[in-house]
Amino acid sequence: MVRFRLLPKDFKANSFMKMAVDEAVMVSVASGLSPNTLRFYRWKEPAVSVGYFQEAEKVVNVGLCRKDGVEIFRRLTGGGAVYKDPLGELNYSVVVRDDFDPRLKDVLSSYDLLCRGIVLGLEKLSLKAEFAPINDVLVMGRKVSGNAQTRLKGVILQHGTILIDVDPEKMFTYLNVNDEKIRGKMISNVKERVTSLNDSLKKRVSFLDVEHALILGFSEALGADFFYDKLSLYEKKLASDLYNKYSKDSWNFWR
Amino acid sequence: MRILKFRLERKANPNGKIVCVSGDVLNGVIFDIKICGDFFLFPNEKIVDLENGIKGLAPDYDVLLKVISEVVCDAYVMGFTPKDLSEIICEACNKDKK
Repeated sequence: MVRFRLLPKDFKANSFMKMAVDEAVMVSVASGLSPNTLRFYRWKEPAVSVGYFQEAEKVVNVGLCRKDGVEIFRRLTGGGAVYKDPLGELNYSVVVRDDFDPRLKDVLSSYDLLCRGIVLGLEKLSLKAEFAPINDVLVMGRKVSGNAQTRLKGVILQHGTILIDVDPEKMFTYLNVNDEKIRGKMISNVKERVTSLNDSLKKRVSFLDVEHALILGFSEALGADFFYDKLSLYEKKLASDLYNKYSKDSWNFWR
Repeated sequence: MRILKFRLERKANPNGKIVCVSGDVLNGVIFDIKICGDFFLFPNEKIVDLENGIKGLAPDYDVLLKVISEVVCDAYVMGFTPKDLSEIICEACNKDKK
């Protein structure tokens, strides 16, 4: 078993700080200053996450977000815009050197390996889950977890969401959809293709139980022995500097 | 001097991601371009290399394909291929000419 850091869960920081910490940990691991790391987080308030290459103004209903005080933030990873539901999802990020396991060198097999942590974690909750390439985890053929990666100097940052409860209508409230008919179709699609742990288990599962199950899952998938630790002073300082980037419109609306 | 604004958003291919290209063509040359979408590309900075590499080129499929292929040859791209992107740019730049 290889030692792997587990950071305290973050349920309080705003979206910009969450993204700043993700990047700070990745930079620190890439600099050889921090060990491979796993952490969990939840949103305190609703927010919208925009993929690195997306045009925020086109994909997000910016006016409605501003009116409702919904944060819009750009993440470091690609993919589409997603609504962050404080009550419905647990998020994780794993930062790992790609020489930790040969399978991490290749993008597709690294998704497979890292998502295996989620699959095995969900098995602890008595759910039969499966990895669906490229970057999803399914339960009974329906998506329960979406994941995204970026890489820096031989280090992978993979973050993702595990849906505990899902409200398809809410998922699209703050996203721009050209046509209301399409919005209805998208909501129907989500109802058909997406599930949640609560729906799959036919009972309510606590965030803490999911977190514990995922720690076990990641431990098994990666052969990792987790030890609890905090962000280093360097990571805190870096995150604080990066916060200035993530909290500004010049970053969030740069495309 | 003739400036033509272009913008086109579509799925790159049936299994691909959304790609949106926008910019200006000045006197038959791509003067400015922005490539957006829900695709994956890393290192992230490659997007800037891609856009800068395309600026100054004619909206010609073969010319674009050569440059785009060279820029992304050492990158990971998921959601579009160099052929898809070349096609989308040509389609965007030429759609108002028809």
